Amino acid sequence: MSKKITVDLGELQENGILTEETAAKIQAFYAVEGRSTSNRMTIAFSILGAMLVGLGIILIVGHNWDSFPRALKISFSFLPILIGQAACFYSLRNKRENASWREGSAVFLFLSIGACIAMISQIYNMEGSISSFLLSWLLLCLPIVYLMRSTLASLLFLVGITWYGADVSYGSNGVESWLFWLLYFSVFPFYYRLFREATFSNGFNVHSWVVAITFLIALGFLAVNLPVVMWLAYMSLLGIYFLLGAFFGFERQKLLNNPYRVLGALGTLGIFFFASFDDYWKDIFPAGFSPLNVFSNVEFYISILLFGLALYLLIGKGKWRDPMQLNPLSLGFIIYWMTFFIGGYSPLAAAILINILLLLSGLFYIRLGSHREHLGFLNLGLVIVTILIICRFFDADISFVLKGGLFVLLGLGFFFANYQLLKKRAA
Amino acid sequence: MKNRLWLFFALVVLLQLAVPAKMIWDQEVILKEGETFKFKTRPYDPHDPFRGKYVRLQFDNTELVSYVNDWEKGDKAFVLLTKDEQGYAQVLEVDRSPGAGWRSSYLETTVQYVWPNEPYRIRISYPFERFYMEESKAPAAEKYFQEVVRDSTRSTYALVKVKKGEAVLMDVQVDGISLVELAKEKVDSE
Repeated sequence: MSKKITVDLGELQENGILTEETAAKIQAFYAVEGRSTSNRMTIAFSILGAMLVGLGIILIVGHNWDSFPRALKISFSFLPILIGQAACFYSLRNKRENASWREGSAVFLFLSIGACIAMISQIYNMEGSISSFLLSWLLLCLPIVYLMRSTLASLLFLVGITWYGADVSYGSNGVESWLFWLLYFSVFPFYYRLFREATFSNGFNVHSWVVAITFLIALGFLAVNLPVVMWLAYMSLLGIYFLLGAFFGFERQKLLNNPYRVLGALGTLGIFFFASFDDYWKDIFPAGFSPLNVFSNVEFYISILLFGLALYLLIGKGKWRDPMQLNPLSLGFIIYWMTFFIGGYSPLAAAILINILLLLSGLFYIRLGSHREHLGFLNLGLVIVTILIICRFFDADISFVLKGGLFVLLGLGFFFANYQLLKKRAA
Repeated sequence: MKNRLWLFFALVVLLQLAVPAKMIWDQEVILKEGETFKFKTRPYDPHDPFRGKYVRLQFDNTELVSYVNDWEKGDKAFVLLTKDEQGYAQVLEVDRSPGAGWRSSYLETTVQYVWPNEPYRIRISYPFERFYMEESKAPAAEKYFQEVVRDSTRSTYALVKVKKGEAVLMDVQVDGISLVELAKEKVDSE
């Protein structure tokens, strides 16, 4: 805690502005590790330092010192690992509560293991694909995450394992893809622990982003037999994200710290704008496809699972009892499932349903924005409506004069709505 | 609780050392006990994000005709090796698994291509197509190699130890001289 705050607290207490109890609480709040800026800086620098040195070692290894005898190269390859292990040992023994030590030594060990394996495959000219290289590297590093309670090791693991998954899984359904999921979920207990113990700390927030993005990528690995069904899976996952972002304390966070809400909303809106064209429904289904085909595919059961989860979040925890409070985007995944089964028979009906939902979402955000006097929501609503209208211009046969007139009206609407809100705020 | 943590830590430390050590051991066994073969080769295109520069090798004699019919791309193919009168490696047989009479000098390869209307005709890739070199030498080696390949009087080949399906690429040579030496001369003379 900075000296200034301590002095200020004393003064405030003397002048009777703060009670002793409150002052103690404030002191306790700032004393928690990770809250003070200087501590955060130390952690950041130790991670950065360890990363630079570790990556530097990998690059130096890449130079490939072929004038050195083999035995010397082999012993050098173990040196960084030994240093990393010693540093981890020291942090665990003497600096267990010091996040900078734990993170720094963990990251260094993580990277030096990669450098060692790279060096050995280089010495013996081993062919090894990038996926087998990543797999042995990451398997050896997984325990570091838990032993060192290292946020960054966990993040490196998540990114690495997603890379591995992309390498082995796209378009195949072998043993590797199951191994990928097992390993991917293996760091989730750590993420959960962060959620419990360090809710909405920096480490947790970055984790949320990385988890949200890598999971979106990883879901694509499951598209094997009938990729079109993955639209259902993706819409359900985005539905889960969107709803998740409204619970568990995420609803009180800034949008920057709520990746689930942001990705859920943008993803749902993005797919919906595509799906608002009836051409979309004519194009996505492969020739000879009937909605009844889906029941025999793994992709469908994955989608069902995700749909169930989203539905649980909506009904089990949701605000569905008050329809005026219900954000239409929360219903996006249900509407999409309905249209998916209609779309094959009547593209037009599907497109109309999607258009209605988009329009409702736009109106919802306009209303929310003016109700809460929030310019961001107001303009999001206006943007949704505007994009929707622009999209409809592409397929409707409307004269230029009419198009022009509508655009002028829309523009005026933007000005008017924002002006009204600002005036309301000022009053 | 604390003891358990240290035990786990010790296990992890040992594992992190044992896995690379095992990798080294496996390669050393092949180097010590394997039979040496020369594979005629041409190099091209070096690059790798983690492991540095290498010279990629392209081999002669990779198109094979087998008794097995239903090959698919990505299949494992075992090849039994022999040497021709000049001492270069030749493929004697190819099969899905090592034959009963095969002793030590066979190799596990991957099917790279199957001719569309001739499912018994395949192209294989050997498990030693990368020769890692010091970054300053790799481009010179590649350039040098290309000059040599045009000269039909000189022979370039990979020196490989082979043992029971596995192989270690020891060196790439031009008329008996290591590519590492030749590249070094080339770099020094420039």
